Amino acid sequence: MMSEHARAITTLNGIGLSYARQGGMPWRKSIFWALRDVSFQINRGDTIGVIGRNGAGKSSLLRVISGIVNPDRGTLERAMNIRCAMLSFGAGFEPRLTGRQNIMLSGLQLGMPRAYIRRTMDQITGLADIGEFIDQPVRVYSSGMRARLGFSIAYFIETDILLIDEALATGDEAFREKASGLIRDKIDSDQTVVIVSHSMALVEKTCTRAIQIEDGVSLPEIGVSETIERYRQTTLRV
Amino acid sequence: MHAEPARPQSILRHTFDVVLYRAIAELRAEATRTYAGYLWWIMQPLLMFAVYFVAFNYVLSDPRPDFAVFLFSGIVLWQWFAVSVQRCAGSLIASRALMQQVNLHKSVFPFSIMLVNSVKFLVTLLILFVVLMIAGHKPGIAWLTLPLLLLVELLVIAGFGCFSAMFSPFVPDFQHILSTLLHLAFFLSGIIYDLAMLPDRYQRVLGLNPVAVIIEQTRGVLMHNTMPDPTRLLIPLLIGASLLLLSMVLLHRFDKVYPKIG
Repeated sequence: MMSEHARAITTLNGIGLSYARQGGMPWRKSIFWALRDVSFQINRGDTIGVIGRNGAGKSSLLRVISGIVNPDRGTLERAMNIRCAMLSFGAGFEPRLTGRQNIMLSGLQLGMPRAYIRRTMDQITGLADIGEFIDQPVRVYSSGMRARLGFSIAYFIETDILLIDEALATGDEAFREKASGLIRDKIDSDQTVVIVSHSMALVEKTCTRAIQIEDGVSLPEIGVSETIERYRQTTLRV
Repeated sequence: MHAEPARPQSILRHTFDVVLYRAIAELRAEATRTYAGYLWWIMQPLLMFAVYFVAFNYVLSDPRPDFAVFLFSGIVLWQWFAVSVQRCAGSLIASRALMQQVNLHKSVFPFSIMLVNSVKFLVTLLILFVVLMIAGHKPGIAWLTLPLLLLVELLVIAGFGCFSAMFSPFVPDFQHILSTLLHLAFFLSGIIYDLAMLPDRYQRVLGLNPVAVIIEQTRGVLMHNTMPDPTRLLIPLLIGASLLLLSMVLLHRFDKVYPKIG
């Protein structure tokens, strides 16, 4: 148990996150708790699958872990110099700029250093593999091409904890396979990953741990296949 | 597939890169949006100038010597301020989707907008120089103080810009109120008239308007080669610096709150 704790790079203790819901009038505000009580720890090298129904608070959880929002309740302890990044596809794309220009813009906003993006530019364009479209404005792209470019930028994010929001399904069939393959490589490497997914097959196959969230509360942690079984039970009950 | 690892970099340096590149991206994108592209940077202030020039010089038949230069210099300095502040007010709201995906310090949104508008301002400043030459105003020794005056205006813009960016997500109606306030401020900034023409007590009140003071002092430098009055510039400096400080503290304080405002 001691050694387990020593490897924890992020620990969540009773995390709660609330949003103010706007009513019809400014004074008609109600507080909505997206997360009520979530506790677990992330150890180096873990691949954690987060499962739960729609609206259970999975995306909010990733936002708390990534540091985009602060929890309103509970504590989030992060080890020194641990970086967290969400794998966001096409964050901050400017449709009127070319693919190449968007690699720089989006990459910087995803937190990549400028020199790193320059060095990695050829690898990113190679992975996107959209030919001469790379120098065309993104607004003329098909949604598939846009997804390819977005994925290829996000793939090169360097971070200690990678947060993925079930967006493995991007682009056409061939690229989707390539993308899931690459993500699986990343998961299989010593990269620490927290992935939100509705695909039980993916969680079962790739995750070393699973966390189930119900109505903003994390259920006690059990084995991966047991968690999936419990999730199936709870969804069937409703 | 592996890339050479990124070297660690200071957050400040990275934030600066993000501001810079967002500005470059917007400048490039804006030019492709319309047929006239970059020409609009010049045409916008020129058209505004044309409207007021026709109204005051011909319709109200109030021809004053040098009115064209007087008016144009006021408009160029005013537009830099007003457009920056107005656009800053919408900057955080427009970036809601982005700030829910990436962890960026929220000050990058107003600052990239201010950078964009400062580049556009420098282009119109060149036009102003041309206008001054045509009207026969020769550069004098006082012109050397121009960069200082523009830095004071930049500080005032940063103060009001960051304040409106910081405040407007909490009160979305603020953007509408702001455009009315800016319209009012246009008439209180001595753009179409000379502050010195007003009775003393009004002059004293308008001396508290930072933009009015900067426009007055800059005109003195460019049109009459008179040195700016440091005591007059104290108020714009103080207002700009304290607003900027306050807004930056609050932007930082609410950095994790903005992504939650829906």
